[in-house]
Amino acid sequence: MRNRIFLLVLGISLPVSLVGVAGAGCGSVSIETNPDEVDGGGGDAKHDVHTSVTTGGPDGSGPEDALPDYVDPGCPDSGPPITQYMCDPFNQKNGDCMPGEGCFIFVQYPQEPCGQEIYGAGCAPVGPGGQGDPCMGFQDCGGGFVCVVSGSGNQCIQLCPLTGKDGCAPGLSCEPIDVEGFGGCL
Amino acid sequence: MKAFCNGPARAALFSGVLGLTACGARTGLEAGPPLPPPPECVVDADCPTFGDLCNPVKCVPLPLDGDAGTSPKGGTCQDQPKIDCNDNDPCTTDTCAPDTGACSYQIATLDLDGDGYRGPIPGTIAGTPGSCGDDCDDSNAAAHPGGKEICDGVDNDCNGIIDDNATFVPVSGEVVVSSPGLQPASPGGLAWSGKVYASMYSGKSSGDRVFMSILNPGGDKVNPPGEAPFTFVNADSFAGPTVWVGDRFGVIWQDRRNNNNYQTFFSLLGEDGAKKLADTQLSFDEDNVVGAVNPAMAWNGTEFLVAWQLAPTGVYDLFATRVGVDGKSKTAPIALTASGDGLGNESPSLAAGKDGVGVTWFVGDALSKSISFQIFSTDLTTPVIPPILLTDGSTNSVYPTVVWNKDRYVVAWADWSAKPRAIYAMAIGPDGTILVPKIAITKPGPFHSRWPNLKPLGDRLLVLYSDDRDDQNAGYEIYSRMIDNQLLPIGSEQRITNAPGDSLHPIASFGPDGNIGVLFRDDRLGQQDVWFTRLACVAGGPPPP
Repeated sequence: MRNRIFLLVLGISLPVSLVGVAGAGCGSVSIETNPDEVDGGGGDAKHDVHTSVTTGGPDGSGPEDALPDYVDPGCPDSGPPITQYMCDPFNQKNGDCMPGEGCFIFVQYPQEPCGQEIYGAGCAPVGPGGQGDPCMGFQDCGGGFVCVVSGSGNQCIQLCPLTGKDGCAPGLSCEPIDVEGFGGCL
Repeated sequence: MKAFCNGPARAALFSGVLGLTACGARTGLEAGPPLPPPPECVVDADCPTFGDLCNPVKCVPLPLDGDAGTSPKGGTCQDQPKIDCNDNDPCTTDTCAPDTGACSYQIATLDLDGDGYRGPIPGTIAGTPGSCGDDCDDSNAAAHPGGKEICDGVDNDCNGIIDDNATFVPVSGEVVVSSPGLQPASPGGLAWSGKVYASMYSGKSSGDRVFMSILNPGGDKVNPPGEAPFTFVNADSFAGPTVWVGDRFGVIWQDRRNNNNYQTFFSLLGEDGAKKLADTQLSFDEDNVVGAVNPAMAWNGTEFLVAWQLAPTGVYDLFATRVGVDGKSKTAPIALTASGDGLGNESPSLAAGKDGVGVTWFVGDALSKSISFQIFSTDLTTPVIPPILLTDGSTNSVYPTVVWNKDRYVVAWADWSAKPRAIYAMAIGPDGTILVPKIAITKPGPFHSRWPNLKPLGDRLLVLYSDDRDDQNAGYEIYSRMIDNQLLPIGSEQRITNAPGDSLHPIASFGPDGNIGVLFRDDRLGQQDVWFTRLACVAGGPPPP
């Protein structure tokens, strides 16, 4: 798997009122089994497995497939993500934030299986971190940077747009972050 | 007493025989001399393990009373010789049925691809003594002893070499796989079943989701199923590797549907593009960082081996599990590393080898970046060798990958600050011996090589990577080159992509007719999409004498 980068949420102190409430859960998503609970083995799915047998290949005449299909009940589509942008992360000096503050992106994970994530940005005091500097949260990074789990140490990286000229230094590419619409130079 | 306190029937029996209840509190007010302990049993059925005919037990009467010449009622439970089902054949799994005491002997290896040849016991090399199987690739019916070697990306004759002496050249005709509207899309995994490719990738659709497209040999979508979501949750999901095992694809990914954290999930996919198993969560611990991320997977012939990084103590460590072909975990997560020095262990990659599993990973933090390698037992529970640091932390070595190549592990990684900023590799024997020390296997000049992907060919390896040396063509392009087992170049480097912008993260899979399919990310259309291209096998001359 190619490595992904993820926003490091540790240390986020943006007020809860900024990020609202996660989407309602449906209470009926797939399936987890903890081997610890089932004598070291896998376990039963919470959902029934359909017993129909698929007999055709992709072209309708291919190999017989002895495995029954599983129809994933999934979650109700919650629609577009909830976003709450209090400032523009790509324009740190437009006056959205007070002097000494930067505009930092955030994500609030869902609390329930079918919950929805909330993306946004808010103002907070800037930290000293620049490209590649270690961090434990956004407060360690300067404005225009984001603290990510990179797979090679948690570090501040420069925010970049995922389309058009990314503005990353030579040798770096704009890698998507798990905050919709944003990338980081890595 | 233990046998008699468990049920009212037995308690009543001995209250009648001895005139008191067998189970009851005694007090100091009871008069008379202490009574002898009651006998352990009267009949065989009184013995605790009675009924297990594999471990028989008898109630042996107590000896005669010397004075009276009589025998008290009852006896002691004595174990009888156990049924020994061991047939001294390592190629069978020997079991004893407790209800009958009968032995059964199941062949310990499988023929998953149905070609009439069994794969080896995990951790052994097909065809070697003790391997109990001589099929070198039990996921592909075109590979078995006596097969005819052709240009098909398969070790047809099981001589340890894939497509003997062949080379691979780019084929024109790159295909965009991810649909418009899913950008930014990113590749996760690619595998060939013998008839179709399964391509797994992430795309935006009300958050990130895992998508699946079944592709024909040219990379065009097979309809049905065409492109379809593979995860159905509203929280972010990111695609991981996929592996074909003879009759199904194993698929892993990460999502944060639960518990405010990412977790690693597993499922099965058929050639028809249908999900065959409910999403099965493999990781369970949480952390206060981001959860279980960067999952990796390998196939050892009978089990999927899955690893991921997680920080339950605040610093990342690696965890792994084994998953059966039915998708059920064989074990609770196993800790592979212990971050005692405060440095994190991240970005695992693993490969099943001879007598063990090779694991490589990043160790360090934002300021100190090294590559580590360690061999574990085939069940992942026991380190075979201590971890080996392949780099010294003075440069930014990151994102390693490992494959098993006939008789050795080959580890490759990118170094983002060394001179040159190239792809580096090492070869390590199954006992941990360094066979080939660190060497740069690409030549980016003053530029950068990144994101290596290795395809083992037995006597050589194909390396795919991204490189930004073409200064006239902004961004990275994908290249390939062949190296031998000494990690030295064979032939010339091949440039695979030419479009403006970045072509990144190549993931290669052996395909039909010797083709090697390549899934990669590309922004030539102005946004980040997942693309497919391929390399064609060019048959080589006769093998060297």
